[in-house]
Amino acid sequence: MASSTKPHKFEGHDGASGLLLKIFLREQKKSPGPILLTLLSVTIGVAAIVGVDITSHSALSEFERANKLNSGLATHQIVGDVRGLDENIYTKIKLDGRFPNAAPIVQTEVTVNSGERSWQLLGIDPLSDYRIRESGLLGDGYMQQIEKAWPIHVPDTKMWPIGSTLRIQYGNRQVDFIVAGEILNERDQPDTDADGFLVTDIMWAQAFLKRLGLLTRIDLRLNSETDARQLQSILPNSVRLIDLQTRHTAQRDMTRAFRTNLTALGYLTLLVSMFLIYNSTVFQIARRRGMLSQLRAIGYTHHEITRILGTELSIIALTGVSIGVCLGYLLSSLMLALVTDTINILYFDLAQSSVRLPIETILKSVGMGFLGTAIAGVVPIREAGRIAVKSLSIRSFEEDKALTLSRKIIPIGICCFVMGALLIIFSEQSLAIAFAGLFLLVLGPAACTPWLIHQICQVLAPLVGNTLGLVAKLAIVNIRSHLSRTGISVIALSLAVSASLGVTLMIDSFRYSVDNWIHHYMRSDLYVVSTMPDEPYFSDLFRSQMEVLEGVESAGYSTRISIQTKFGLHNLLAMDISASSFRGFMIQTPSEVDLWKQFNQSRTVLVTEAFANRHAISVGDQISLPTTQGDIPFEVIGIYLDYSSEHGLLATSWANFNRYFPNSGPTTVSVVLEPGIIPSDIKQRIKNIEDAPEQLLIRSNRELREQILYIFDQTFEITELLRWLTLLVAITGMIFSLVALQLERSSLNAKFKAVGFSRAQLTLQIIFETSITGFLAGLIAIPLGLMLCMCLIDVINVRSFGWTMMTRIDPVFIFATAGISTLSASAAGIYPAMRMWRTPITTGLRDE
Amino acid sequence: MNQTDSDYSSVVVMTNVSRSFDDVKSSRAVLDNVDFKACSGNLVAITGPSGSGKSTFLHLLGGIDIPDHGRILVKDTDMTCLNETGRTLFRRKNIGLVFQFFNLIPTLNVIENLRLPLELCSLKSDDSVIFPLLERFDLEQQAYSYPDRLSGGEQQRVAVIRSAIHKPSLILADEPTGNLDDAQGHVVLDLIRQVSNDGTCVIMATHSASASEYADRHYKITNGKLHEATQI
Repeated sequence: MASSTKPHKFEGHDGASGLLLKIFLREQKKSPGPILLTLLSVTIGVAAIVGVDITSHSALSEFERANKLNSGLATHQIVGDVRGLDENIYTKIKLDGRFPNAAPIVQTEVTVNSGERSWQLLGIDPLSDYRIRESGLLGDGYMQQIEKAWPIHVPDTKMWPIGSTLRIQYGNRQVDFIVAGEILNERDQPDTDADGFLVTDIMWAQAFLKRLGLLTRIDLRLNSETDARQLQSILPNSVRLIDLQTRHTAQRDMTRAFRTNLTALGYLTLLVSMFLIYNSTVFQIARRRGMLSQLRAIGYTHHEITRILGTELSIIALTGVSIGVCLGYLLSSLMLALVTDTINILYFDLAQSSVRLPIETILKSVGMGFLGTAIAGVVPIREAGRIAVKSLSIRSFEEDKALTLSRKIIPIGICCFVMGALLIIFSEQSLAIAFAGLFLLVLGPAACTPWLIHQICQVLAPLVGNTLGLVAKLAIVNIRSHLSRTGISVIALSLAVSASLGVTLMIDSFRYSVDNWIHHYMRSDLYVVSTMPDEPYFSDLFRSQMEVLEGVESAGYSTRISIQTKFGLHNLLAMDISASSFRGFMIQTPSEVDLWKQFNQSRTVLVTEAFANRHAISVGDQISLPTTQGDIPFEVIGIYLDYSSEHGLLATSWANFNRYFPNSGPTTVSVVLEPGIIPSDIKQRIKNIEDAPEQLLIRSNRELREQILYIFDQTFEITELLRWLTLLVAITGMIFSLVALQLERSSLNAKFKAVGFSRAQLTLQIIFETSITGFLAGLIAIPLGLMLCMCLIDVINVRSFGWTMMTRIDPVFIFATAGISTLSASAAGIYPAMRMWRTPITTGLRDE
Repeated sequence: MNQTDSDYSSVVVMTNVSRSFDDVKSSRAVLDNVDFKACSGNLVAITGPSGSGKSTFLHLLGGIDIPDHGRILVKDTDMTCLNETGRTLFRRKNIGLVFQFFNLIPTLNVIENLRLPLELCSLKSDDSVIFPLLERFDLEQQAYSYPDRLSGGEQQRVAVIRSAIHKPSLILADEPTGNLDDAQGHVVLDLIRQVSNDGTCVIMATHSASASEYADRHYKITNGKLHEATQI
């Protein structure tokens, strides 16, 4: 016997990787299920992130692009009321001499050649506009075309060649413009950012719109605040000077909450995907446990095993990320249409932009895809590398370990929950941190799901055995003993289902609140507005005739104007309404006090809850408003519920409005009909009133309410899309896990058949087992979904939009949650059951 | 057939080795202060009732498990002083393993299965090395077959060749005939005998009395102790 020993660290070398790679590739070819699930998970996770990111980015780019062409280098704008701005103001500014960088603009939305797409018709003065916009728009050659009648410049002369005719329509008006050239950028090259715009000389725009002597606005480049103050001093009180930087920032901020919500849903999809990546990786390793044991026995080190598994996962991640980016790009086209519609409805007009795939989105999604896959795969791969040869053939070892893991994860789950709650409480106004807290708040309890299921099954097994028999008991016992395979799928399903339930309940509560608000707020039978921008007001004559119109009990009048307060640009709603209509306002603070009298007192305003929350305004505070008599403080007498504007609204009486603001007349008439009068009967009578605007839009209470709710539903379509995407990933994962588990047990099923179990009994057992797993996951998701709903309503919505809402828990959604979870899991049992029928006992036994 | 320690140098030396496992309530000593020695060319049979510790004995020798105390020298290397990676790399070069359930890689054909240990050890692994062996053991017809196309006996013969192909000093066979009928079992045992005759130390755990008759030395494990049963 040798007396000396070799050094403790054995100096070896890494072994063959070619054959190892061959082994793994052939394994995957033989059973592609788990690898396909991993691929699907990475793909959908990345697609969701890419889709949301591209959509958000493209919408913002469109916003910047529109601003670039609309405002150019302008720092300020002068605007009038809805009718427009007197051209003489521009003349006055030019004659003043202190503000040379000013350009008059006429702008409106038109359609071309009877198409459905909206275009922005921009009428500019080429001789002054170059001072504002970097681009020359019409180029130097414009002067040579000046003699042409109705010239128009288009973004692309390939679509509309020079000399061709464009029939431009606005309301009932239409004129054939002649294409005179392309819109040019600052280098006199065709402007690629000009899509959606048509440019003509201001004179032709005024003639076309029949707005001679009127401008939409004046764009200005002012050098300092002093310039702004000096300019303000020479302007009449009826016009406003707007700081564009403030407005653009405000507009960008307005959509931030909306975009953050979308991003959060995108990341939720990625998180659920990560669970499934983990799950499918565990599956792949469990399935190949025997092979891994042999490799370890032959002499492969755990580093080599880990490396090859890591390489395999990296290849899957690379493929998944590549497909995910492409899929996300395709998905973004659909999402962008929904997001643009939502932004148009909620915030400001945005043209339908083209999808852009920025490099930072690609880098971010590639990074997130790889990081997510790495985080999800690192633990199972590390475990696989460390598998001890002797434990490889012992199945119960893994289940014991899974149970231990499910117990160990409970403190982590509790920590996640507490940390999530703390993040939500202390995140103040940060939406991103609040969302992170929300993730943890739901993830913590969801992580405890496998342990909970284990405990429930432990209690259920004897009860079920005594009542439903051995087959049912076996199903329950199986659920408990296969948690190492199904646990993570169960967590992913619970997470996705609870998120889905929470978001659905929140949207339903929101819809219910909006419906309730409309019910309170809209007490009139008909709502009348003019659809002619140059004729938006109702005259005194119209009002007097309205009062005496047969069938009309009473009429209320209102208008909205934009005012610049120290909080930014806001709408002021002025109302000439009856006391009973006023009681339609849902006053939040002070509660149970009739504010009608105070409302009609001088210098008082109501503010919406969104305004109050955003700017920390309380009842009794004073807000300084720019009036025709200079800045005057108005007392806030109440805060009311309003879902029409998330950035807030102020409301004042008609008397106050008349006295302190430039009043051109009401723009909306709300009509209460006498009992028994059918709204449709009176519409024509209103249109026939002398001095009524040329074109009126008259909607009944029901029509308007349906339209508001339709718009509401439209704004949540994008949320619905992402919610279903997340659910799809989780359900696919759950079905896959259960199918794979059942297929692995074909030899066990063969044994059952061999001892006399009928096909029906085994089918029942398989379906019962998968259904109960899904049902329990759904059951656990219900309280989580309720908690999520509360947080979304009471925290996220208040921070995002500034308004509160009523909570409505519709049991239908709760049953649907448990149903979706149970049904998807039941479906997972069908294929294994069918396969079990077809597989002869001998084959099943030989598989062992 | 019989060789003595003086003829060959010691490949395995086990000194005062104990290994116990935690049971539900207590600790159960599977091996208790075991001493053992085997040399090149030895074919040693280890027998004993189920659960007596035969597999544990082989796991300890193969570096798959480590003892609670004691020293295990394989080719002068103290296995108890190596870390997991060190033991794996040592096993790769110096130890071959044969299992009851054949354990061939199902996605590799016979040639590829045999090539695996050679490539791992960076040895020549082309057909000129493998085919003579297949011919010698009458497996050339199955060269490109996958394991699921082979009979149990054929699979086990490939497994034995695989364990010996890279010329390790020690082969550990755990119930190599446990899953085979008598005729197939004898073919496999003949093969193991030939491998041993080529100079490799083979230690075989078995239940089978006929299998133990192939061995030069026969040990029995009872109550954690290793006793030499017969000197053949």
